[in-house]
Amino acid sequence: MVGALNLAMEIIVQGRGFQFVILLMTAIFLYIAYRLLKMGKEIYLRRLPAIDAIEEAIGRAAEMGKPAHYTYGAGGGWGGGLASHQGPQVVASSAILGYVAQLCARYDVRLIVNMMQADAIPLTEEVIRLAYLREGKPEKFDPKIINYFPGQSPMVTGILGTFQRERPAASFHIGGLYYESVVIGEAAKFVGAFLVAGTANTHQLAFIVATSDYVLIGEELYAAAAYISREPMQVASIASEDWVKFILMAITVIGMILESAGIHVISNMLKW
Amino acid sequence: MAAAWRRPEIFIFIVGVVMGISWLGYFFYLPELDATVKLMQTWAVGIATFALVLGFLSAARIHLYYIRRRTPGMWPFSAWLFFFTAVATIAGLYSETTGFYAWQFKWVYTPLGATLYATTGFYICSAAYRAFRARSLEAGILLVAGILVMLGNCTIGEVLWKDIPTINEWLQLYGQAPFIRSIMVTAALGLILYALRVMAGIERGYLGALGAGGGGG
Repeated sequence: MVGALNLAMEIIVQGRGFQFVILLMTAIFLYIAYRLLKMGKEIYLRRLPAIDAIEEAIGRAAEMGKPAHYTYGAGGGWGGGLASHQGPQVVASSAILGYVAQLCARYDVRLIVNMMQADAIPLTEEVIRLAYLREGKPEKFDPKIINYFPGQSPMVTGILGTFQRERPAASFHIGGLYYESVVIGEAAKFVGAFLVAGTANTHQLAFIVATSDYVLIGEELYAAAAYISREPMQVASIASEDWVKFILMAITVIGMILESAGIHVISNMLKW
Repeated sequence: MAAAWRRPEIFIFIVGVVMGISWLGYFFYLPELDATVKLMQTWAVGIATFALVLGFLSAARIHLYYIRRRTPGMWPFSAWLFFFTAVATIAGLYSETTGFYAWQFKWVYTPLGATLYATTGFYICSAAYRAFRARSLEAGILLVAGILVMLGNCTIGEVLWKDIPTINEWLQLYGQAPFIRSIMVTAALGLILYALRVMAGIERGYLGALGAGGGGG
């Protein structure tokens, strides 16, 4: 054990040691939270109003006889695609799309998806197809509801066109959003759509808050699938994330005090 | 046997192994692993390039449908898409940096994109108008802070009151930055957990497996 620790200390990349410890700690907490859940302990999961509002939005579309619209935004649509740093937001968003598609199938609401992530097309098709299958309506799934655009501006133009032609009653803009967040957000409001948006791109948060009825901010986007599924292991991961957050907050406060006193233990630890 | 290869567990396992190797390569000096990590990164770029063909095929399926059905208001644009794709492909194969391909990119595609991007300003004004209506105490505080930041970024702000740029700087450095950073830290933590869930095969929402019930409480 000590030998393995010494070896790890020797070969770890300078500046990434603390990150590695956080990763290990997160994995251990995940296991502990899962064991606690298995033992019957209740773990509180705070509400995500944006996810709760999805059913309301689709219900509204059903009542109005209008379609629902979904987009991942532009993130992950260029450069490395899903392999880029924006990719996880698209993958996390696809789980929410699955839930939206399931509700659309349940209430017979037409779903329109506009996207520019070429490598996410099979993923998107499969997620929607399975959602219709879960509701026992596989024949209602039409792959042509997925519109691909090979660029950010073409996609924004396409979405603006969709809004004008189809006048959706609900629109979901969830993923790696860029400047389109405000353009399509406002355009959705112009046609009276109920808007749920979410992103982990902090530079776009102000825009989605200004334009949307409900928002998923940062980590909520990644937690949404766990919140929807309520599977013990997924719920455990949310709980373990909260525990790590408390530890990081404690480190921050202790670090502030120690640094102010001229003791650099925490700052050196972060540089390890 | 063929069905066994389509099982999602196999793909989850492959993704888990690839992620594990990538993480090891990120955290540790392991020369033996470097070549493997670089090779996997090259594969990722290759797969992303193939995905463009997939994207075109997806778009082609929809637009061929519009043309076949002569969908009113759609099919002429769909036909134009195929015509221009063929023209751009032939021109691009001839030369990417000169001739028609470079010309249309520089004088058609780029200006159209820039024009659309420029409209963002109008949408921001409209969004700001709605967000800044002082309907509650929070919206009122946002309105005052917004006005101060806007004035702080204009030359007229300093003319009106010399301390406005200082207030603007304070609001951005000490009012906004800590909240943005806290969101960034928690988003990064969420991402780590998400990656762990995907790697371990716990997170399957992206495979369409959300549970039959769905719906949050």
